[in-house]
Amino acid sequence: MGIITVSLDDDIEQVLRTLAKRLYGSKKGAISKVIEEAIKNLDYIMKQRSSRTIFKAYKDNELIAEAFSLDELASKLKRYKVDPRDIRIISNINLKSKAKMGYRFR
Amino acid sequence: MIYFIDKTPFIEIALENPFMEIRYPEEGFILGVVDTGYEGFLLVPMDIFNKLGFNQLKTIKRSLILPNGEEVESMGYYGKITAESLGVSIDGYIETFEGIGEIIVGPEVLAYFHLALDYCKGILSLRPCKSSLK
Repeated sequence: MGIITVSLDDDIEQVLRTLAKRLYGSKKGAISKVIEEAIKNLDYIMKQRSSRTIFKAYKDNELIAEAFSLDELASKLKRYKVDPRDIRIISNINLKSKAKMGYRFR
Repeated sequence: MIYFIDKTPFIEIALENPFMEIRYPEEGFILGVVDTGYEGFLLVPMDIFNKLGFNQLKTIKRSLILPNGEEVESMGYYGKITAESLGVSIDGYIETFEGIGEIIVGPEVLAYFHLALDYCKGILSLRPCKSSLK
């Protein structure tokens, strides 16, 4: 078990202490448990986010909009009055630079 | 809906370019052939790609390896396929190159389904496997 010294703003420290008391009472290690839970939750959220498909629209190398679906992205671009012909879309979908075509093509 | 035509599995699908609000076909569906040998999402004939307006957008190019080992350059864009009978829409990379005469549905689409092929009984079944699908 590691011991880490962290510095927190006063208001965050107060939130931490309130949470610790509410969840674990005055038990020893209550603050450590809250921090452990918070880290686990954050880790879970980050993993969920990274496993979701994200589409990003760029215009002249500037990020204009991003979304979890093409419908959502298209709707954002429409709202921002951006012509789809001017944008380049990238995604975290693994797109091989070289892929097999299969056997249907003769 | 999925069924055999001459022992080849076909799926009823519709294609969409959400950025230009174009659907193909405008009504109903078109058949796509299931081909697990194709390492992609969807391959469509050039005329369908153009009707969907993808050729007017900033397409992404990549290489496809043909069965004879030859390489061709494909161009593609992100679009949507819908299997209305299953209530499923999936976003992915739709590509084309000169000479493609049919719609080919690849494993990147099939990854969202339970697909069962029973050639003994002539039965095919397809159902979505992810609850997150639209």
